[in-house]
Amino acid sequence: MMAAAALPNMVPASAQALEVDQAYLNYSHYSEGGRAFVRGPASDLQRPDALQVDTARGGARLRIDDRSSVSLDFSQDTWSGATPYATAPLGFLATTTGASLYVDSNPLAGTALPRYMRVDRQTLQPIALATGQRAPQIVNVMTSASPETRHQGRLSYAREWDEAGLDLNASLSDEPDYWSRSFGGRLRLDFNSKLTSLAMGASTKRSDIDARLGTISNYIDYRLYQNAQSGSRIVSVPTAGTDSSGLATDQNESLRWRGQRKDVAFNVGLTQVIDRSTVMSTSLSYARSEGFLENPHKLVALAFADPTTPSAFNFLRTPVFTVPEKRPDVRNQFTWNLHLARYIGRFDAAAHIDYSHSRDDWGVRADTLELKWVQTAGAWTLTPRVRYYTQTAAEFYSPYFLFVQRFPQDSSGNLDFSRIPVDNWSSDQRLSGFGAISYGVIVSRRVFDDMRLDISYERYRHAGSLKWGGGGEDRFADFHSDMISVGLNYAFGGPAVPRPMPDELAATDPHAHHAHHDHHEHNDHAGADAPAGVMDAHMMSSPGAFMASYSYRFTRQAGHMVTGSRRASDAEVLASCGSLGCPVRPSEMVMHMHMLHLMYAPTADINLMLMPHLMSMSMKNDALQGGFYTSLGGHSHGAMDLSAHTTGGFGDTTAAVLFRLPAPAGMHAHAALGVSIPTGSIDERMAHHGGDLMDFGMQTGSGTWDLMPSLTLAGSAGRRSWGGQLSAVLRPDHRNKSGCVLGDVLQATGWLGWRPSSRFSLSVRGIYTAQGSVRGALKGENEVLDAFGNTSYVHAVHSPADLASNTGGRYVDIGFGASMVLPGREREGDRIALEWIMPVSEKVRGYQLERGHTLALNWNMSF
Amino acid sequence: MRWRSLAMLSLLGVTGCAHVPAWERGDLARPGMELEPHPVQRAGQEHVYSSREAGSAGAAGQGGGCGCY
Repeated sequence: MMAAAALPNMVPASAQALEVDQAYLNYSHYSEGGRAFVRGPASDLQRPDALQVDTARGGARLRIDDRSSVSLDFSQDTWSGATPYATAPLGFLATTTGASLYVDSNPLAGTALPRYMRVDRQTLQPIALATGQRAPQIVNVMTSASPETRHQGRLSYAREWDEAGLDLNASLSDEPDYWSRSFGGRLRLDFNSKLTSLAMGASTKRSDIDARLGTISNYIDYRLYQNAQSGSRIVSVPTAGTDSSGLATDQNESLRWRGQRKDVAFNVGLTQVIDRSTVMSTSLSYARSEGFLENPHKLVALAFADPTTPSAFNFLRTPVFTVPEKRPDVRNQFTWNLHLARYIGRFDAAAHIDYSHSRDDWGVRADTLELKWVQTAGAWTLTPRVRYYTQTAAEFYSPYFLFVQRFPQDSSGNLDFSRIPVDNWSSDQRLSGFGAISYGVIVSRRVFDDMRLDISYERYRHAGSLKWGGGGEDRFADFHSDMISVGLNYAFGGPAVPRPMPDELAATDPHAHHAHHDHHEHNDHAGADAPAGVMDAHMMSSPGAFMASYSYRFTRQAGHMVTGSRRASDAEVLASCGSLGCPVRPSEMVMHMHMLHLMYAPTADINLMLMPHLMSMSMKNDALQGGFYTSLGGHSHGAMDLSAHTTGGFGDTTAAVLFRLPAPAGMHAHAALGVSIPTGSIDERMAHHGGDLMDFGMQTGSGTWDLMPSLTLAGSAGRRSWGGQLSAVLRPDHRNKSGCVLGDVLQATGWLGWRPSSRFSLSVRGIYTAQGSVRGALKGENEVLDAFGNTSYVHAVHSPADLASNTGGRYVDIGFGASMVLPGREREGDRIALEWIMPVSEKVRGYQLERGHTLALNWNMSF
Repeated sequence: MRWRSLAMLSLLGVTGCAHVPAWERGDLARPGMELEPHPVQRAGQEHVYSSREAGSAGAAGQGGGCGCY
C-alpha cells in the first residue's frame, strides 16, 4: 500500500524538484585544467590562471496543505580565471611587450597603415612575419575575467491530485552581463492504476544581454554590430575611467553589446512501469531560441588570402580581420530521451541507463549515454556514474576562416561585411566537433534521523579525439575539469517516527535520546531570541546536540563621499589621494555574504563552532573631477573603463569555542574565543585594468590569522527578552602578503525583544562599532626607487578606497528584527530571523563612501 | 527513419508491460529508483554540461559574463 502511495514521487515535477518538507544546502567547486598554452612570440607571457567556480546552492520545499507545496531555490556562482576568446594560427598572432597575445589584425581604414599577414602560396599555411617560417599551429588567445557572480532564484508551486500533478515555476538569473527571467509549467496525468504517467511541459525565457567589451581596440572591427539597424547592437557608452593619457573622465568610450534573446521549450514525456522492478521514461523536447544567440565574448579571425599578390612572392598577402562572432538569429532544437531504471534485488541496488539524442538546425547532432549504479548499504548510498557525450560541429564553426580572394572593401576601404562569402561565423569551441567522457561518484550518508550528507566528485574530459566517428577538433581545444561538491539534505517531517513520540516507545527507540535532547534544547537554547545580525549569540546546553544554520547578509552602500561626519567635495577627495592622484571614487558597493554555521556541543558548558562563508561584491565608480591615474612601473594601460568591477569567492573561515559562564537565574552568559582562518583571497585583481589589486574592501579575506573574542549576556522574562554583546576582531599579525593588515574592530550591541505570540518575536537593537584603520599599504608589483636608493613596490591608485588612510571610523547603527519559529519545529526551536540594520551616525577617517543598509537573515536547524 | 523506429520501439515497450498490482510495487519505491536520485548534484552537473556543450537543452555557450561558465 505504501509503495503505491509513493509511486507519484517517482515522476518528479522537474529534474530539480525536491520532496515536500525537505531543504538542502550545497557547495561545489569547479576547476579547469589541461588547456594547451603556447607563448608564441609573447616570450614573457605567463600561463593564465585556469577557470575556477565556487557555487553555493540552497532551497526548500514547504508543504502548504496535504496536496500543495511551494519551493524556493537559490544559487550563487562566482567564477574567475582565463578562457579562450579567440583562436588563430600562430602565424597570425602578435604581442606587445609584457602583454598577452592578440590576433594581428588589419585595423580600420585610415587609422593606421594596413598590415598584411602571409599564407604560403601553395599550401595556404600561415607564415610568421618575424621568422618567415610556416606557423599553422592553432593557438588559443586567452582572456582573464576578474571574479564575477551570478545569482539565481526559483520559486515553484506544486499541487497533487489523486491522478495528476501540476507544477508552476518562475525563475530569475542575474549576472553582470546577463539578466533573464523564465516561467514554466508542467502537468502530469496518471493512468492505468498509476503504472503510466504522461507529462507535458512548457517554458519561456526572456534574456537581456548587456556585455561589457571594454574600451575601443585598434585590432577589433566591431562595425557589423555598431552599424546594425536591427537585432543586437554594439554601442558606445560614456563611462568613468581614464583617457589614454591617464586623465579622469566620465566620457570614456566603452563598448557594450546589447540585445535580447527569447527561448521557448515544449516537452512531452511518458513514464511507464514495465514490471515490478523496472520503470522506463521517455520524452521529446523542442526548444526554439531567437535573437541574440552570439557569445559576446568570443572573437573570430577572418583572413583573406589575396590571389592577386605578385607571383614574385611565394606567399599570398593576407589581411586578417578580428570580428565578433555571428550566429543565426534562430535555433530550433529537438531532443529525445530514454531512461530506464531497474532495481536489482540481489545487490539491493538500482541501475540507470539514460540515452539522449539531440539535433538542431545549426548542424549540431549530439548523443549522450549515461550509466549510473545506486548502491544502498545501511546508512550509506554510493552512486558511481559514467557519461559519454559526442557532438558534431555547427555548420558555421571554424577555428579561423581563410578565404582565397581579395578582401571585400566598402567605399571607405573597410571590410564590407555584406560581401563575406559566409553568412555566419563562430570559433567558439563549444560549437566544434568533440566528445566528452565524465565519470564520478556521489557518496551519501544518513546522519542523525533526518539529515543526509552528500559528497560528490566528477571529472570531465573534453577532447576532439573523443568525437564519435572521428573528425573532431584538434588538440588545442582540449581541456578537463574537476568538480567536487558537499551538501546537506534535511527532511523536516522527519523519518517515519510520529511526533510527538509516546514515552513508552521512546524508551526503546534508538533516536529517542536525541529527540529528548532537542526538547531540552529549546527550553535552554540560550540566545535564541537574539536578532539575526548578532554573531555567536546562540549556545546549546545538551551534550551531543548539533545545530546548523545558514545566514545571509546583504549590504549596500551608495551615495556621497564623507569625511568625519560630513559630505566631502571631489576636490578634497582628490587631494586625499596625494601626489599619485586617483581617477575615480566609489559610488556604490554591494556585498552578498552566505555563511554556514556548524555547531556541536561536546559538553553542556562548551560548544564548538565552525563557520565557512562565501561572498560576492560589486563596486561602481564615478570619475573624480580633475583626477588622474599615475601609471607606475612604466607600463601604461591606455584608456581604462573603471566604472565597475566585481569580485567574490570563499571568505575567511571562523572556528570558535564557546564557554558557558555563571549567570543569575533567568539569565545566560557565555564567552566565545574565535580564530579567523585566512581562507579568503587577498589577491583579487582588476583583470581588465592592468591587473592592479582591488581595494581592501573588495578582497574576500583579511590574509591574516585573527582573534575574535566575544562576551554575550542574555535574559528573558515572560514575553520580553534582552541581551547584550561585546565583541572584537583583533589582528596580531604584522603584515599579510599584500603588505597590510586590516584594522581591529570593537563592537558593543544591546537589544530588547518582545514576543507577541509563541511563534513570533520582534527586536530592536543598538550597535556601536569602532573600526581601526588599515595598517601598512597595498603592495604592488611596480618597482620604485626612492631618493635614498631603496626599492619599494607600490600599488597604483585608482580610487581613494585603495589607500589605508581612508579606512576606519566609528559608527552607530540601529537594527529592527523579526523572527518566526518554523511550523512543525516548535519543539526544536528552529526559526527564521530577519534584521534590517540602518546607520544612525558615523565618523569616518579619511574619505569614504557613506554607509548604507544591511539586511541579515538567519535560518537555524537543530538536530 | 531512425526516429520512426525509435518511436515504434517505445510504443512496443509500453504495450508489452505487465500489470503490476499495488502490493508488488515495493521495489519501484526503493531509494535510488527515482528517475533522478540526486537532484541537487544533478543540477550542478547539468549546469557544467549546458555551459560546455551545444547539445544540452537551451545551451550553446550562454551565460557567464566572460562567456565561460
